[in-house]
Amino acid sequence: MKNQLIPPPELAPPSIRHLAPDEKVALWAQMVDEGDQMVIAGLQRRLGPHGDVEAAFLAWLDRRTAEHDRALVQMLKTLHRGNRSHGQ
Amino acid sequence: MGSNALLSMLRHGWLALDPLNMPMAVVGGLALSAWNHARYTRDADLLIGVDEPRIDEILVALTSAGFDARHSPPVLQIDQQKIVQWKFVPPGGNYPFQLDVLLAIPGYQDDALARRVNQRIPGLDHPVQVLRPDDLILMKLAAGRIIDRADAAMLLRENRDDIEMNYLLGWIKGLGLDGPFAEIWRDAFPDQALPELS
Repeated sequence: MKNQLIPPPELAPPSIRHLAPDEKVALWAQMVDEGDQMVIAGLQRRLGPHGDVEAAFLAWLDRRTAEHDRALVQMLKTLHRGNRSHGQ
Repeated sequence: MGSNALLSMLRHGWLALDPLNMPMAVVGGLALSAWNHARYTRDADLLIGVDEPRIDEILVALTSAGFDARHSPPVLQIDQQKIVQWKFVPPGGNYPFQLDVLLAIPGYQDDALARRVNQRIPGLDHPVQVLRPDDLILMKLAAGRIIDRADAAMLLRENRDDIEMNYLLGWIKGLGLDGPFAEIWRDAFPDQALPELS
């Protein structure tokens, strides 16, 4: 697994190819909701019973947005560079 | 819950933009689930084909629908690419969600939009469009983070029969993504040789 982006086929989670489109969206929704719950649970544990979890979650969202923005800029620069080399 | 709020934002934004009759597709993390790879994401990204004089129509439509532009002036330009980033708090929601609207430029993005396909989103009575998996792979490789490359590897493995390999390889070469593509191919299909453009 060292330096691998995804597990090898024999260790990968089951494919969802066979699911209907609605079922795939439902699975995605479950991952989002459970992911949020895990982040909030982690923040609650770190901050203790009197911590401001809502503020911490908003700060976490801000950091996530900043990371997303950096990736977006990188993507657009790469696509632009490729377009230039295609003479667009 | 977060997923309902995010889907609500997508529905709201799509319905606001749909009457403009511009080619438009969902890209980014939310589009992955349509192509057999579901993972956590809290934002939505749209790619829209729009002529320069009509950009204001997008701004008016989304502002009227309750979206707040994140920047002032709202349209950012990164190299040749224009983008508008929005925040939206769904009715009854506590936390904002982000919608990024990428305004397509000629070349690769026009090609990608022309190949978009229909996808059903629960709660919307007509389909939205998403980019095809080969185009999502290209965008993910261009973004370049580890998570994006992992997404690209999963898209490749899970959608091999739907991928037009010559189209993908042509743009891989054109965008200078040969190295990252070799990496995801190795992880997606460890026992198979890297394909070549024919």
